[in-house]
Amino acid sequence: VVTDVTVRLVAVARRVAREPLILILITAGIFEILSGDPISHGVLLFLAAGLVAREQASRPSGEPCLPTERPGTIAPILDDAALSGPLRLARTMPWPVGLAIAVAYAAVVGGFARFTWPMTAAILVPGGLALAAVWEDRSPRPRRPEVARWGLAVWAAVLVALGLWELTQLLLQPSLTVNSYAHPTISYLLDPLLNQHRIDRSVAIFAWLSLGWIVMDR
Amino acid sequence: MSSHDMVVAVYLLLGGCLVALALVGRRPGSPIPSVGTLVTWATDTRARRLGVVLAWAWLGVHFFAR
Repeated sequence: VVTDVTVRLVAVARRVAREPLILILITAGIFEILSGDPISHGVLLFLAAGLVAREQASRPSGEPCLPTERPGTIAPILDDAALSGPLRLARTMPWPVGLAIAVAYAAVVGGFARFTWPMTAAILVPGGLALAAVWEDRSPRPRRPEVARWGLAVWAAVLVALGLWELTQLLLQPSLTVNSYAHPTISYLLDPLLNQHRIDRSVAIFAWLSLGWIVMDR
Repeated sequence: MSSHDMVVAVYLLLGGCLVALALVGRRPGSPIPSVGTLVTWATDTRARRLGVVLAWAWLGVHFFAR
């Protein structure tokens, strides 16, 4: 039994090592809970890590990919008819219509106070719809575009530096659950803006929706 | 310069780097990948795409939801 458990643990460790996204999500989930945020927020990240691990395990040799139009370009050859309903709608919708919907949604939702049930519902609806659309979507993913390794390395360096700087400030606080003016995290710096001004909340929600659009449109 | 100011300055510097990379990446023939290319590269399997969408949803939950 011990050998069986060890073999399984080694397999899990190898899978995590092969997929840095799992490690990033688990680390973020642990610090989310340690820093006193609601357990459900951390659970969401653990769930994400679990889904990625489960999906990776079911496709050990990778998924079928679609060729991009030409090496180095971002435009994959996608058949819209193969996409799930919500994704097909998003992809075929004229961009001014999508923009108008996002602006109107952000303007209305910005009127809700943070951490209230109306705001929670307003965040969970687009988040849930996006997740459901991606979950349903069984069309092949486009092949990874050919990009310069050092170009990727530059992006990774800045993102990792930002993550480490944020983590450093979190660890330099008096405790993980007590904010510090001398060592502010990004959340701490944004709190006054997002708590007090409706327009700031609307801008932030619009930025969040736009980021989601970029992710869903790929 | 206080500790607070230095921390904020580094955040601004790194944020500025991200904006600069995004702008440089939009130029034709740039060796720096654009944000769109980066997302396509990072979500080449259904699993990674699910993970990235959930991470995006978490951002909204973290900053706004109960």
